[in-house]
Amino acid sequence: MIKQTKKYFGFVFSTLLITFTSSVFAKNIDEQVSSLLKDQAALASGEKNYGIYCAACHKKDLSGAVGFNLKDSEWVHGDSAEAVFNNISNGFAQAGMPGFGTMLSEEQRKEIVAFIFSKREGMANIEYKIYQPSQYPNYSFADLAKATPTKQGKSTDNLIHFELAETKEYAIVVTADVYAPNDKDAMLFAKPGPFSQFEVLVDGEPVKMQGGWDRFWQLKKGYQHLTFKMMLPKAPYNELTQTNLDLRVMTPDEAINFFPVSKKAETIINQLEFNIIADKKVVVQRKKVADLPAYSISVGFPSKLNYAFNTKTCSVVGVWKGDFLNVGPNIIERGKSSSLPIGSWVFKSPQVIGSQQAEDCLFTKYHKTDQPTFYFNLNGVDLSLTVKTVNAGLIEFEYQVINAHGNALLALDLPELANSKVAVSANNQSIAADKINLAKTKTFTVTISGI
Amino acid sequence: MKKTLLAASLITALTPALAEQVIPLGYHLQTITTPAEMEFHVTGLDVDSDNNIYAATRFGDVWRYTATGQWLKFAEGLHEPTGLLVEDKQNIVIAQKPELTRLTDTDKDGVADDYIKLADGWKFHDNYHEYHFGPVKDKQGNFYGTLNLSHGDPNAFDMGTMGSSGGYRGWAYQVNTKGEFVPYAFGLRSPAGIGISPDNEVFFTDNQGDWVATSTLQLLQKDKFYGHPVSLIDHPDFSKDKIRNTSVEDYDKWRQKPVVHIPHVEIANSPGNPEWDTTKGKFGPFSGQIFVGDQTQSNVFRIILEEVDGVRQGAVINFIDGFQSGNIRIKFDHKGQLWVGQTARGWGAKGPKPYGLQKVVWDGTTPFEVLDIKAKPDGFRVSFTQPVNAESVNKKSITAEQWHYTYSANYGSPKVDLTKLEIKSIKQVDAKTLDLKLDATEDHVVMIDFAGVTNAKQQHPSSTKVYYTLNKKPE
Ligand code: HEC
Repeated sequence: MIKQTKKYFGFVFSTLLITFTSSVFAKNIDEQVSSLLKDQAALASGEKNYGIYCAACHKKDLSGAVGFNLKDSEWVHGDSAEAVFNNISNGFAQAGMPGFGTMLSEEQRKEIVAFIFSKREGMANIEYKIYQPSQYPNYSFADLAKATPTKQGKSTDNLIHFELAETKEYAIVVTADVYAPNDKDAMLFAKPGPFSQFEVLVDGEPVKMQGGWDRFWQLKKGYQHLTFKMMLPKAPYNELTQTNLDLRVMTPDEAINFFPVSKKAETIINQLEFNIIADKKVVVQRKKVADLPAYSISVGFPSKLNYAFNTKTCSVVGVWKGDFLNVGPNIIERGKSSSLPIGSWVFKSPQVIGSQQAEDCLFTKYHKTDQPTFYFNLNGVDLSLTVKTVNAGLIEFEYQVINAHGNALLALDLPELANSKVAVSANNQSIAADKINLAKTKTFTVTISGI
Repeated sequence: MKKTLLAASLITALTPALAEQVIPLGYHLQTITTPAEMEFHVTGLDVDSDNNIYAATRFGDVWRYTATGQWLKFAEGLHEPTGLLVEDKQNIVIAQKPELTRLTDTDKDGVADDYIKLADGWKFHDNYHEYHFGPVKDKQGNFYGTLNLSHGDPNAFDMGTMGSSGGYRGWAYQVNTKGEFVPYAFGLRSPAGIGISPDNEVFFTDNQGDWVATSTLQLLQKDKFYGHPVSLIDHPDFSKDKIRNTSVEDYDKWRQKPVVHIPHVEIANSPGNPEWDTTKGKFGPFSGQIFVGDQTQSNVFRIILEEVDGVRQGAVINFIDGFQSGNIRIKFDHKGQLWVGQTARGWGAKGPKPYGLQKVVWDGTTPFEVLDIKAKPDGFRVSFTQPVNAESVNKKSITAEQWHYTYSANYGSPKVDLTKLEIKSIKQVDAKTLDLKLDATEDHVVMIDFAGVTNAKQQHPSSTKVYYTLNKKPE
């Protein structure tokens, strides 16, 4: 029932698609997409068309399914606006992606590229210069201005390879484009061990280094240009000094890894996978989960729908579709990071089924059988909640009123979903969620269908 | 043939030098095979009336190990439990991060089906370090647990290292017989072990770090302050400013002094639960004493307590080291065997294994060891498990020193004012007992080393150093 699956990083090699376009045209597209990125109407239109033409294969959140992930830093067929535009226009007939060159106007395709780039997370255009100690006698970054790098180049996989230095005592200067999340606070995060020196600039401005043991630097939201300088201390090192740096972008509380910046970090993050899959029967897990509030209990169904019940608000704080949970980040090493729901959200907190008034919630217990049942008191009413899924498109939340304690009405908040239908019913008749008549209604059901 | 012989003799020659394991004669370590392919970090241990062992794992499961050596899963999907208490075969109480939970097997099929909230009156903010340790249950039926401070939580109030985002972090709590959550005492840091004495008194250990000079054993008493100021943000008389502006001297006067200091590295870095030897001799000569495991040092040590004019104090002495992983939970079963639950994840341990379960069994051989120590107005009375060889007792074979620690926000304290103590006289009271005269100072740790003392067979104690926390000299 609990299956441990380890993911190995699967690089997909495919033949390089050569497109013949003039560089004048290329510059044009890159510039046009850059300006569309600032145009909300264009982004909204791009999002709409993406939802219609692309989401089926690449997922609504761009995380990829049949088609590749379009928001990470791994671009098999090129990551410039021009390359992405051409890939959309020409498609990949052999791999099953149609060309959209005739179906969508040139403007529509550019808007889609802009929309994809607005969601982009990860690194791009990484260039590095590596110096040896003879070049920086004072062990200061000022020395590097006049120094000649012993190695320099561009990264081909959008990751910094600190192991390229080969020697252990070196300095490195990296410049790169960073696409940080647009909607979440993010830090550049390093685990260097003692005595390494750093200088970090974002869009040309120095950024204050924080932390004591681990080091971190505040990033801006969205796109920015990064300069990252590291100088290792003189050998012999303290045994804890890291010459192959674990560098990544995370939330300030280290709960979520947004993306790796160095190859070392990518290796570590990939090892953090420990999937619990509800493949035969219902699985209940109480863990720290990304995007869910503390005190959430996650329940996974073999039908591949999952939900989380929160014991402090007595509400359903999330429903997601897919295999259940990757608890790896929460159970490996100190378990600082969050478990990751596998799949995509149908809704999540602050959207809920239930009352948002936490102070009126008293959780009692859950009974764990084939269908777990939660028992609680909400606004003075004793209730139980049993959840059923018939298939991956339908989930039913069945509430039983155990004792209304004289309360006449109960009000439920429901999520507002664009693509699925949410309905409340009692005795097979639809009822209003905000005034459930407890005198008449002993059982009522919230149904989400068309997921 | 020759080659083999040579190799064999080399190995015997090397073994004593390589494996300087501390283990008293007659005691043996046994390793229990845990369920395959499971992350079996044992952080909760107890035993039922039929001597079945129950283990809670950091992964979130509860397993039963039957007397016939079978593993059965009793519960699953818990949030990093770090404590387990058997009420009876159908009812197991566990401390998981967000909740104190009773797991009940209502249909008696051997698997829990009700996961009942007993208490969650504190706040959990999903920070990895917000551990919840416990529970123990006193004779009246009250539960007790301890709540770790947070670490690295950007929203927390801190004074350098450990922090609190509020909600009784750094407190001990009681859940009384009416089921009410009662914030009980405060000033705790990383109180990873809680235990109850046969006299119905609750003790806890706290881990060395900021405001904890070296790890401690403390007696849990209502409304007492145990030294870590961050927890005071939940105290009605304090604000953040007042916490920052109160002087170390004032905190020092107010705090409870440790019953016992557990010297860092020498004895322990991260002690677990205190477990009383109530085996009535089934585990050897140390009846009534406290055993504690250490997560970092992979050892088990003994604590010997006494009360002097109403002040608790006592000694620590190493017992066994060289366990396979970090010892965080220990428990005596009904046969008098000591079970040891282990984890090394996230915090390294001397033992090489990431996790596991071992037990210590005694074969009936009485080893020659330091048995007991009591403070006297002018020194200490020390007894051994066997008659001592009078010829081995002299001012060279026994040495002593003392030091104290600085209470401060710093991460741990070095030994302060470390001084040698002259052994002024040694008097043999009876075959097994010595009175030592020396000028020890109150509020110091006195270390006495019996390195040269032997029994009639010229055997030395496996641990020769006793560390006595002298809070109060008898008059
Ligand atoms: C029928 C499924 C399908 C649809 C619909 C589809 N794609 Fe794809 N897409 C794929 C597949 C499969 C690939 C991988 C091609 C390969 O294997 O090389 C891909 C690759 C891509 C790539 C290249 C990614 C890289 O790593 O370089 C881009 C960009 C892309 N798709 C964008 C789009 C956009 C934008 C749309 C909508 C306008 C779309 N796709 C619609 C299946 C699809």
